[in-house]
Amino acid sequence: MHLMKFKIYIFAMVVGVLGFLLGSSYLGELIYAESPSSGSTESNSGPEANLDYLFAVFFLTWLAFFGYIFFLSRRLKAMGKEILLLKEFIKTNDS
Amino acid sequence: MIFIWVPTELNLGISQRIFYYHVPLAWIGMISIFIVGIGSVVHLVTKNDKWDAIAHSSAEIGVIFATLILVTGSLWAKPAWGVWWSWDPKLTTTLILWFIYIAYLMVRSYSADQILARRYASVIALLGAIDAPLIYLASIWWRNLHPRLNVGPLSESDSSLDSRMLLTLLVATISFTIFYSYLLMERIKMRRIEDDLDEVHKYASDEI
Repeated sequence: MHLMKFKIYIFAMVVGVLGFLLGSSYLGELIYAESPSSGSTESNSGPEANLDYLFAVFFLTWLAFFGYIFFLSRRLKAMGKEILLLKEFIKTNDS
Repeated sequence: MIFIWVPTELNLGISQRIFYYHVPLAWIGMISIFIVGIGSVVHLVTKNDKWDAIAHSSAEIGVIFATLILVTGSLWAKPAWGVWWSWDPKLTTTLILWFIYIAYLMVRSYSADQILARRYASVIALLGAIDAPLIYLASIWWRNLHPRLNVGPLSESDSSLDSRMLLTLLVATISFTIFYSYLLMERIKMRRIEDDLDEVHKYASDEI
C-alpha cells in the first residue's frame, strides 16, 4: 500500500530525465553535444552574469528537499489515519 | 558564506558558486549508495529486515540527491561549457548511478513478492556500489570535460583551492551530510512504522 504511492514519484522522475535526454536529440547542440565548445561561453560578461543559473540551482535544490519533506509528512499523516482506523476496528471487534 | 563571503572565481565567474552545492550533493550521492550497498550485503547475508530498511531508506533519499547532482551539474555545464549535457565519462557514470537508484526502487515497488524483490534490489544496489568509485575516478582515468579533483587524496597538487573556497566547501559538505543523516534516521523510523502497519493489516485481514 505504501509502496503503491511511491510509484507515481518514481515514474515522474524517470519521465523527466528520459524526456530531457530524448529531447536533446531533437534540439541538437542546444542541449546535448558530443564535444561541446571548450572554455566558458557565457561567463565574464559582467559581475552578475550567470546569476540566473546560480539562482536556479539554489531554488531547485531547496524545492526538492522541501518537496521530499512534504511527501514524508503526507505519508506520516496517512499512517496516522490508518492507525486510527485500526484502533476503531479493534474496538468494534472487542465489543 | 556561498553568496557573500567566498571570493568569485576568475574564469567561471559567479556560476562557480554552484560548486558549493554540486560537490556536497555528489558526496552525499556516493555516501548514500555505499550505505545502500552495505545494507544490502548484510541483508543478503543475514536476512535481517533491519538492514533492508536502512538500504531502502538510503536509496529513497539517495535518488533525490542523485537527481540533484544531474540537475545542478547540467545548470553549471551550460554557462561553463555552453551545453546542458555532454557524454563525458563522469556525467555518464553518474547517470548510470541514477538509473541504478531508479531500478532499485522500481524492483521493490512493482514486485508482488516482497521477499524476492528485496533480494533482487540488494543485487542491484551492489552494482551501484561498484559504480560509485568509477564516478569518483572517472575524471582521473578518462581526461575529458569535467574538471579534475580539486580536493581529497587523489587531487592534483597544482589544483589546490583558495582557503576561503575550501572552508566554504567544507562547511557546505558537513551541512549536507548532517541534513542527509537526519533525513535517513527519520526515514528509517518511518519505515519501521510502515512495516508494523503492514503486519497489523495482514493480521486484521486474516482475522476477518
